[in-house]
Amino acid sequence: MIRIQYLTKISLLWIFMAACGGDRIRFQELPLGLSETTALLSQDGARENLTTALKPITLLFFGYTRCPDFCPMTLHKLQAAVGDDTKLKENLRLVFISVDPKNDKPVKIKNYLAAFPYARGFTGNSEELRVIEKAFGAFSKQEPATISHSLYLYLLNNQGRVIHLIRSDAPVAELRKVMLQALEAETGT
Amino acid sequence: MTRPDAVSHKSRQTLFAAFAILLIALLFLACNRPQHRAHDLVFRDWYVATPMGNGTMTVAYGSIENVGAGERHLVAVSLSCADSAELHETITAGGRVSMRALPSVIIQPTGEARFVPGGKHLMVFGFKKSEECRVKFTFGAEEAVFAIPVRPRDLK
Repeated sequence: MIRIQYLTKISLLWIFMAACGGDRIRFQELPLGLSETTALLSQDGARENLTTALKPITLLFFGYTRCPDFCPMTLHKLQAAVGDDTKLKENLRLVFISVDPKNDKPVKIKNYLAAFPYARGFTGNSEELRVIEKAFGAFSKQEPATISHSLYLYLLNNQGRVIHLIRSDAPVAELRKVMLQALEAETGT
Repeated sequence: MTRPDAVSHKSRQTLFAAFAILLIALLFLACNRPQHRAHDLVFRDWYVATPMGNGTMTVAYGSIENVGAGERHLVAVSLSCADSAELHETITAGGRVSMRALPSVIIQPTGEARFVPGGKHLMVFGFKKSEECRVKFTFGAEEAVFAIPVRPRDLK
């Protein structure tokens, strides 16, 4: 009888640990990301090295300001995921790279991101954008009235290398989980 | 034999349960109240999303339920607070996001067309700052016109 009780307890503990372990994200450096010299035109109109924008949690997203549905949805979902969490607000950086340099001048990008204090916008000429897209395995293509682009938010480590990919349309709770675990992995808090 | 005060207590409990059910039903009806009904079509939760920054491009979301017996074709839409509006759909496939214009949206009998972030939506061009907007949906020869709010997006 004692043995059965013991086995039940062990089984329950194992199930609990497996459930918790399954919820942990394994961040792993991928052969993608920024190089030490990656520089683009920032929302303030100056060329900036993107590694200077890194924070303990850095998410990078390719989009454009005329994107009416998906890009605002991503930005607002991220905002909802951050909520009133001061720790997340202080440690988060969203790097927004506009893939529409013809239309997205620095002032326009800055204005577009104004409601998101942790966001910093960049763009570049078509060659620079092609290089950075390649570095992230990303993609963009001008269509007649729109631009198709990559779906992911790229989570970067403190060297600017990609350690996790998350779909930009992931549920708010999922985005929050990724950010909290990334912060924990980066700062140990 | 049942005591009279026990009977009274039981009937009070029954009355309370009936009242609670009625209240829940009323709340459900109030929350689920359509914005507009016309031509066997029920319109719910329509709004224009506040544009980003000083942008003039935005979207409108909501749903249309067909409670009639025939299929319906939504062929055009316009908004009083914008230069024009089109039916669009965001598609995510192969790690890419793209958008396409839809010539029409077909709503089957007893079916529903949902316009949501990251899916079908009304693409709004030339938005003019406004707190409310009149939307016009065109289904062949029939039209549905009603006011919808302008407000931030609902996201989960």
